Amino acid sequence: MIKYIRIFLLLCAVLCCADVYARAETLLYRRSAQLIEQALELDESTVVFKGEVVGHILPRGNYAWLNVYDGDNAIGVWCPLYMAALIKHTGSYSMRGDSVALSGVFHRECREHAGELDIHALTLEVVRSGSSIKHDVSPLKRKFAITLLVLVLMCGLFVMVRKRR
Amino acid sequence: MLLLKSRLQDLKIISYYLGKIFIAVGVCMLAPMALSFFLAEYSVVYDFVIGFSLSLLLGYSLLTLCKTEEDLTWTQGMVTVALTWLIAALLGAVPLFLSGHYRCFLDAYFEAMSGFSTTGLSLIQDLDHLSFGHNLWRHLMMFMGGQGIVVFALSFFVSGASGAFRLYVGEGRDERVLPNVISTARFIWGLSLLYFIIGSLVLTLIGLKNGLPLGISIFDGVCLFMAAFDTGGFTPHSQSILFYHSRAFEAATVIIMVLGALNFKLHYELWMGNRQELKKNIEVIAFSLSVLLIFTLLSIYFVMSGTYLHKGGLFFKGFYQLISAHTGTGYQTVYNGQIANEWGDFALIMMIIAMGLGGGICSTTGGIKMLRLGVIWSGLSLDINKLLLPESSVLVKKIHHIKEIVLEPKLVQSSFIITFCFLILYVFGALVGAFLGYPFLPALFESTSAAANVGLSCGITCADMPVLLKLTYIFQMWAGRLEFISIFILAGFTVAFIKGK
Repeated sequence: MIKYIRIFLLLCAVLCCADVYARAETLLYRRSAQLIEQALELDESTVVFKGEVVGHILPRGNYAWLNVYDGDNAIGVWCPLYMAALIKHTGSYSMRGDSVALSGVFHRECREHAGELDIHALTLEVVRSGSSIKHDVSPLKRKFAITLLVLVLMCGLFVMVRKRR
Repeated sequence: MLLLKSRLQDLKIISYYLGKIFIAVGVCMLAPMALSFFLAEYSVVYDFVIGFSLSLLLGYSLLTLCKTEEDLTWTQGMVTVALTWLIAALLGAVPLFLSGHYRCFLDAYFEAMSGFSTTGLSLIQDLDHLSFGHNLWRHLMMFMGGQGIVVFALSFFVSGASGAFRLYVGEGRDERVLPNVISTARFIWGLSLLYFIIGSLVLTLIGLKNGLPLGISIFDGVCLFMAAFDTGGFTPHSQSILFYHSRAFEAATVIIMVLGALNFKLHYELWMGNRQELKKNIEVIAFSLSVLLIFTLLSIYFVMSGTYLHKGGLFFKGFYQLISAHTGTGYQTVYNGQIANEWGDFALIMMIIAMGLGGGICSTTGGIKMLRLGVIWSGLSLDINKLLLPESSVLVKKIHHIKEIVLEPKLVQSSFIITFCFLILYVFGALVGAFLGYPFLPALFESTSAAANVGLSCGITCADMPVLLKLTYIFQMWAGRLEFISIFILAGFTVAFIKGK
């Protein structure tokens, strides 16, 4: 009997751990799609969000706007200037922006910002520094482009000569 | 019978004019090419060299092989216009596809058609890392398409006035601002350039004030103006207007969107000092009443349903989206998922109505258009009055659109036919969406957005959507922009050509 009770207790412990782990996972990483789709449920709650800072940092007095992209959508993050100052690279054509992990209060209809869906950051940490993106031109593309251009120039010359005649 | 006698000659004339227009499209690629070169985006330069060269090669070939002195007939003009939009989007898609931001060429073609038709639905991947050159090209396509690709060619390449008028009408514009259609085309471009300078400057200054660097402020200002005035809806950032978190940007784009939705003829009257036209014009009255009525209903609904309880949400989310929908622009200050999940059926229906109605005739908007709505409404009230009065009485109804116009049955009939075609097009896309497993109301929302060249999305439009739906939306954007007539004529021309009649 004691053996069965032990097994039962062990199973309960495993289940509890699994539940705690699952809850921790959802608390740790909210996807942007989840924030948008479950905005009503998550409104005014503290969330943790992770992604790449894209575009530009938009300062507003002692605060700033960041746009953090997680692969699905970019979400506006309102944070103090000192937090924004941690970010050295923002995502663009030539740059992979800093990846940040942040916690903050999620608003479905932010009263402070004319009804925006945003996160007011409480903590922010740069988890991976951004880097420049190299765009190499493939030799095939280069050859194809030059060949076509030469053809166009020849056509242009042909049309001009024909017009003069 | 006419086609039977001269079908090869028809093709020759059509091809000749197509050649001219393709050269114009290719020449326009020089702008993003130059920008890419200036910003050292050398990989992008090659993309535009390829697009430019293909356009010019095709154009030169058609001009050389099909050289003709003949002017266009009505049929040829209409077929030319319908084919122009299909093939110009094909050429415009080349540099986009080469950017590597599209999963397949069809997605790039979808984007190019969306750009030229000023729709704004997008299948791009990772927009925030797109080059400046490609981004400029997306917005430039909107500017060209909004003014009319053919109007552009008319202004600079076509000399025969009668042929020019046939192309002009084929592009879904049936009003001339000035007596001569080439003068009209030049006026449209001149006015657009003037607004372009003022609007871009204002948006640049707002960008600077909002903390954007000078170069980005200018770039975003120019791109946003082109897409707002031409009621297109592309933006350089994946969050649309939400990226800026700025009420000033939102207010400025509302004004530009409304300016873009006004009839160019009305612009002309206003520039000539005829301010009274604003108060009397049937399109302005219909647009104002429609916006007022829908916004009132939306506001009541949003407050009652708890979607937006505060002024900020009601105005900068509800009103902004309504203006964006009604003008056919498609700028968003909410996420696609919010429209689908939070707004509810009633708000979706209101937005579908706003998108479906559109703005002014001879403007850059799509949809049914305000003049047609005004004409049908006036025709209906005339008929009801006739029923109420003795049979012997003669009733004459006039509407005011630049001048007093007597409401004739023919006018009401033609307005009704186009309206009916639009309604069929909206429902057609929704049925295809429903057939592919999407709920009907969101499918109708997306379909109306595509067919009325709006660009608002509740999330259906994405790179993962079925190919059939992509093709359907491409067709809807094309047919909606050209307002059917040239499409019908192209279909008839093709059937006759195949049958040899």
